[in-house]
Amino acid sequence: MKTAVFANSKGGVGKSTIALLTSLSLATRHNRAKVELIDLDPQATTSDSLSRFANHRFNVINNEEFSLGSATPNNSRIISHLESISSDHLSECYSILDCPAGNEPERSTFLLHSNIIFIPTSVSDADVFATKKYISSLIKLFDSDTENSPKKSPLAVILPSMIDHRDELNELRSVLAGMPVYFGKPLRYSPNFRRAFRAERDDNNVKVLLREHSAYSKWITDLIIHSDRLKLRPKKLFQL
Amino acid sequence: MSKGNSEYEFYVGEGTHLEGASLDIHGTARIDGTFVGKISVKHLIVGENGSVTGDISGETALVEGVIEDTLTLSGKLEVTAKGKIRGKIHYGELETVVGAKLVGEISTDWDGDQTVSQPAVSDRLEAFSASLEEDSDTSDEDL
Repeated sequence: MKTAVFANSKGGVGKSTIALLTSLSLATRHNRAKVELIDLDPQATTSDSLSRFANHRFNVINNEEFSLGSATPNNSRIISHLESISSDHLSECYSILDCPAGNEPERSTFLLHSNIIFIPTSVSDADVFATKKYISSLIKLFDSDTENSPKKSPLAVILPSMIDHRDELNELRSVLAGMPVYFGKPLRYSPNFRRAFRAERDDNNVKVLLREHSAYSKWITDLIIHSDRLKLRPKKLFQL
Repeated sequence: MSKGNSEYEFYVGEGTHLEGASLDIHGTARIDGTFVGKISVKHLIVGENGSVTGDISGETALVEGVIEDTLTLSGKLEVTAKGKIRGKIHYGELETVVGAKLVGEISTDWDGDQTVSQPAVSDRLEAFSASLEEDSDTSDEDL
């Protein structure tokens, strides 16, 4: 059982889009895997869009009990849900959580119960500033977790999102250089992302996205599956 | 069991436990043992002591035993007095008797029109996955 969270305090950075791409990629690339997408965002964009694919091994959850409103998660409910899933001891079982904008690590102890936290960001100043603050709060949360050693903290991975030129990627890597987290592969910008959430009759919009970003999808799903291979928190930004 | 086993394209006998299979059967399958997995079949018979868990789709089914998870049929679902189905059930026509148990999300097409041009909800993910596999990999380039 692996748990991956997509979070950032800033909205519009690609959390829901990459959560959609990732959960659907896990379910389609691994046809024996059980995947659940937990949408913590009251707007329910991701869960509304993915519910059409739900079946016995792909569960789409938008449970009001997981939220206390105003982007505040109901930590005890979420943790107890994750513990109940992990007690099934299913190796090919994945929980993907999509957090709403405004998420604050200090009020989100459930993050400590995940294996990997993805922090998408674009190259814009507003996104970068918010991402830096978010990561600082996240590290404080990790350090305040006295029950676990730093080695057991979840992995934190910045996801460069909607990048359309190598210079942008280099710029982003440079401004985030001091952050003690991993730096993931870039998700290229595509106009097809604008159509990602609509339920087209033939699902062609999602099909196009998965094909267009197949290498990225493979990278991110493999990273979740093998997240236990990366054990240490890097001292400074570490390119994956 | 009144019919000989040779009348079925697929048969799981009593005392047999089969887990993890994904079957596509162009005919009749009869389960008198335990089956856990995925079956796409024209006609499914689950005997009195039979148990099927997983994603099941097909045209028709006769359920004398237990089915759990997802059952999607385009035609008739017949559940006898000892038959029990729990999960997400979609059928074209339904015939059942006192004693049968159906628990969960049960649906059929309101107008009885079976000209559905897209897969039922429970099959949409697998149909989508299959359509992705049909195409060649158009991997994205690194920046």
